[in-house]
Amino acid sequence: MRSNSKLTRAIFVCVFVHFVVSSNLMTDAHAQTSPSNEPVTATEEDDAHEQTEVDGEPVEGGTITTEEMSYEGELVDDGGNVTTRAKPRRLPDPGQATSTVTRQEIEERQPRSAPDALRYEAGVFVQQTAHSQGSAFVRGRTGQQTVLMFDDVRLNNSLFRQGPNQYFFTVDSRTIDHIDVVRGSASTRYGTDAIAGAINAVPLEPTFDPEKGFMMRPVVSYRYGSADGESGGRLALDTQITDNFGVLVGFGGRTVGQLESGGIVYGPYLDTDGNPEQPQVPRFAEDQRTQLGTGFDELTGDMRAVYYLDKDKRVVFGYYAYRQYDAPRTDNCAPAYAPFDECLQYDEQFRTLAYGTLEGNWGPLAKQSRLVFSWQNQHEERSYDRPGAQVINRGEDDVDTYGVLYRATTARFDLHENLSLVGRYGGEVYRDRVSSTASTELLNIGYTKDYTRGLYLSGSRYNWSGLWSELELQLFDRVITRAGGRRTQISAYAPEDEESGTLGVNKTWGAWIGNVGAEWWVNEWLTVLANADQGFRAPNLDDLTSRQRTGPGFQIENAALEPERGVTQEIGVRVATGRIEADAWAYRSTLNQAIARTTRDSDACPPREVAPECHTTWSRLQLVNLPGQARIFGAEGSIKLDLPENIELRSTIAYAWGDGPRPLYQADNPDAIIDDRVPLSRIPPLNGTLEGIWRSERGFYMGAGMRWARAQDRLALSDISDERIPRGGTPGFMVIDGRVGWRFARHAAVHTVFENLTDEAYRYHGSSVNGPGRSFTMQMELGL
Amino acid sequence: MKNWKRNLALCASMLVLVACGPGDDDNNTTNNSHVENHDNHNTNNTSANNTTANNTSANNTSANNTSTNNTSANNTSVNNTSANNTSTPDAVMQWQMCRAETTEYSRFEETISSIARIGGFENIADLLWENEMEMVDQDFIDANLIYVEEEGLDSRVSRREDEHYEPVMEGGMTLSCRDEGVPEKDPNRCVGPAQIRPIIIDSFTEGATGEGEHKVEAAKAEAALLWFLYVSTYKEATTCAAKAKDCDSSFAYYGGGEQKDGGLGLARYFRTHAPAAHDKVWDGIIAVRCWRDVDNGEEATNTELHNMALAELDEGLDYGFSKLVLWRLDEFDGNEGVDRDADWAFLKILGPALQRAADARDADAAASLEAAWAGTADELDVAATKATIETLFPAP
Repeated sequence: MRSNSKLTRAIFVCVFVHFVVSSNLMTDAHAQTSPSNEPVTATEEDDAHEQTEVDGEPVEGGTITTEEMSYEGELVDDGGNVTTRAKPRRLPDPGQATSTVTRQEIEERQPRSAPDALRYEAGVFVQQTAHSQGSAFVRGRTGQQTVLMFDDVRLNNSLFRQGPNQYFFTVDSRTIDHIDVVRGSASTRYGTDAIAGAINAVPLEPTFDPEKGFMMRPVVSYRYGSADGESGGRLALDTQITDNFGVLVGFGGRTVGQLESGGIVYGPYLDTDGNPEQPQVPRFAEDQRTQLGTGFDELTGDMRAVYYLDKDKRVVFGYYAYRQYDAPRTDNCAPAYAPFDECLQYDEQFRTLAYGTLEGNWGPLAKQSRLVFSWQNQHEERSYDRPGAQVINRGEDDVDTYGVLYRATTARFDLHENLSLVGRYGGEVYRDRVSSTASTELLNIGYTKDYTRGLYLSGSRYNWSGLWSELELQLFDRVITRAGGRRTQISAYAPEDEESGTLGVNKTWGAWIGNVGAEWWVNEWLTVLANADQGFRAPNLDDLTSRQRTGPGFQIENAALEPERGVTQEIGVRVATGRIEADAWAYRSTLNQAIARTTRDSDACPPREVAPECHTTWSRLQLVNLPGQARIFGAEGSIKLDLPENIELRSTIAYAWGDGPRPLYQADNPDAIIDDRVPLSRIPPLNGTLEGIWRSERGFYMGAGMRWARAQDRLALSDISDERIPRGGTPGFMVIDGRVGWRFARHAAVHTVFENLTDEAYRYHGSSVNGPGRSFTMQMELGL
Repeated sequence: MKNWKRNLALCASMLVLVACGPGDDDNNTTNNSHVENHDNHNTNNTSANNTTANNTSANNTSANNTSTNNTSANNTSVNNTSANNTSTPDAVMQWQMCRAETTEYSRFEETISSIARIGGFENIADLLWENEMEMVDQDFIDANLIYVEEEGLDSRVSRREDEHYEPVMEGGMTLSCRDEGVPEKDPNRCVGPAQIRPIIIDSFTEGATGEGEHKVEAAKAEAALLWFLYVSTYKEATTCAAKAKDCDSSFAYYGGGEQKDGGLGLARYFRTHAPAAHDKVWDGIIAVRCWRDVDNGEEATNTELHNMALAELDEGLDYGFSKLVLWRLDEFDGNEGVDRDADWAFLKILGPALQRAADARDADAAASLEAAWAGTADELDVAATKATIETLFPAP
């Protein structure tokens, strides 16, 4: 059956290719009348139109090159009079610790997913609960405390879980032009919950060539990965309908098999036979390398239409659909200590995002502005199959998010000879509507029991809104100061469900937060930076209402949670010369009333009749506001060297250390302050990367990358009961990848990555999945 | 024409690239193999159920050790003080003192998840074999739902190993009964997935669909679940050496977390039908708890003391279990019709479950018991069978 569907897909692709190739040939005659292949953008200042030339021709989506960056220490206008220096001008967050993963880097590294594309970014540590999931830890925090965006539209919704989540995986990396990463608090600009940072995936754009009229360029790419048998590709159609209207349409798909690792990652302890203890997660096939509970199928579709109203104003409509099927959650497929054939899997993990934007220059007060209307649906359908018991537990959750976003940057106003001012401001409103169901199907009897509630409560709503502004003063061409503030208003509603013993929620929170920052240009190549930023995160519907199985145990809801509040202080230096780009940051991030999991006894459970698993689980947890302060200290740095002969070297290093109050609940004194401090959960160990690459002028490149991490044995209480973490901690590793590729025409390229050359058995701390063993990945791209 | 060739070439390459990718086939193979194995698993389970207690690998550590009374055990331990796994006089004295002073079980952890499973057992009992109303199909459906609750009874039945038997080994490696194909290799060790679980699922299915007599199917479920509790009480006391909280589970599997004068689940049965066994098992539970108090490292090392405590517990469990069989034999003898059928269904499960302990005591007598359970209800000589059991399992 699967083979038939594969064949059907292949035939469909063939027919489609034939159609688009024919269409393109029909337009060739017209195209040839405009011989110029100069890359032209409708707005030279518009970053979204940056292009890379290969053999003198523009490449779809554009890839930033060193020529497009400025490092000379002078003020750089990034398109919206954003004053920055000593870093690529496209970065949207001046004065902060930022980095960008470019399209070129994505092609060269061949990541398996959008989160995977972040593995070489300083201060970012990617954990994987499943082969089909990935969650980026930024400065030791993830999930609800980092804001994920796609083209500025928030992916975070009110169902985002504590700890790692899979949702950035639902961004198709093949549609991404680049990913911007802001490390450290970005609460004013991106939302009060951007306590640890923000990640924004910016999609590919249609190509514009004003020298031509109608133009259609099909591009087909195919990728194969030997570690998991990945096989799939993308068909894109880049169409310029007129010189101011273009559409990029793409379809993608892949089937991914079970992932072969370098072997078992043993914990530091010995088992009862005196052998190194094998963690319960993941389960392995007989070869002790292939990981059960991995593999998935994926289909994607996207469309982006861009219409230029004039030189610097445009309307964009985007539609991005992601469909993932049959994706087991590795740590529950099979669960620890359960029979081999039991499996929790996401039968469907969908994300659909549609949005329209109006953007451009609307005068000095809105020189770079963007108004976005968005709708997003996040859909999950899970099944926990226990064939031996002939039972399947099913769950289905949907959240529809309607959003409006406005963001603008003013022109630079010269207030005095040595004093100028830029303002940034904006606001957002997002509204979530939730539906959630659950059932148990007895296969032996043919009976299905539907429950009154699912993971969440159907009919729940969550409103999230904010207004913000930030002013930037530049003094004497030496010092920049920034200060801003945000007002946020959040409300949560969930209906009561008497039958399941669930309390209703009807709460509203509001808060003011602010940030200050300064940059001192010490000399032409050295900049010193400092920032302080407040954060505020109100509990979301997942915190307030969810009942679910998590890695460390079964979690019950807590409708009485209150917001957590944070402050991040950081200091950094940035060095930029023609050949060297480096930065180093140290930070301290605190969180008061942090929302964290604490262990509970069964008295805290709802009645057994309505929540039996709460009573029968080994480890039951509940989110509480910790009575003290949780804190993370850390430092990170990166360096990039542009050497002669087109050789580039890059390296990153990051360290984080976190602790917080011991989350022990005292039933007789719930407000007790406990002095004892314990490590925070899943703080990444000391880790880093090293990359070297040589790129020829003819499009050929060759290089290698190394990722490493020290062991992490500082474990939180919830880590100790988390089967994803070997008993005693996760061992360190060092993995080396080789890369070679050649872009020999505008849309003709081969990229190959030889992964884990030493066949190391390794695991990123907190992951259920071991990294791929020695393997290769190859992507071929062919277009017109 | 040229264009068509170009398109054809492109299509052909796409077909090769997309259609010949290995991913789908790999997945299919794996998935199919799972399904097939599952089918085999059930088939084997069914057949295993019919050949219970043909034990060839019994560890025999428990029943044979029942002669180890406290005095002799103490003497042995006093003479072996050098190795880590033997008892020092101090340790034995502490253990004895602890036992003398202890009247209530004190938990290692505040919460014991196994208690909820015993709650599940009691709820199923209320729906089925202790239902004061006439059972209906829906009662079996509800019982099935309780049984398969996440982390509920089935989650433990499906992994339960009988620690009386040696672990399943292959190529010098210890295999887990959770792994594919292992239960079929040794249905005695892998008693939960290979023997108990199929009986329970089958009884719920037959009861809910009306294909079986409700009382008979309820009796099957009752016997199988009691077997599970019997095995689990001993298993958790054994693995308590590695994880102290497993002692709590042993305590909970026996009595649902209640102290001696209370007791749910197996303890309720023993208190009713075998009070002496209840006392003995309770002594064993306290003996195990006191051993773990004395041998209180993260992992216990004093295997001798552990074995002494386990032997006491095991003796009580075997005796109590034999009394349950005797009780049901009496019922069988006095009942008629479907009630008698239900008793026989119960005995056909619990009788063979006692076979390992019987084999360890007297192989010839055990063989006659085995023959009795293999026959039909009409062939059963109740008096002779009772006599054999009483001889094999005297009061402790």
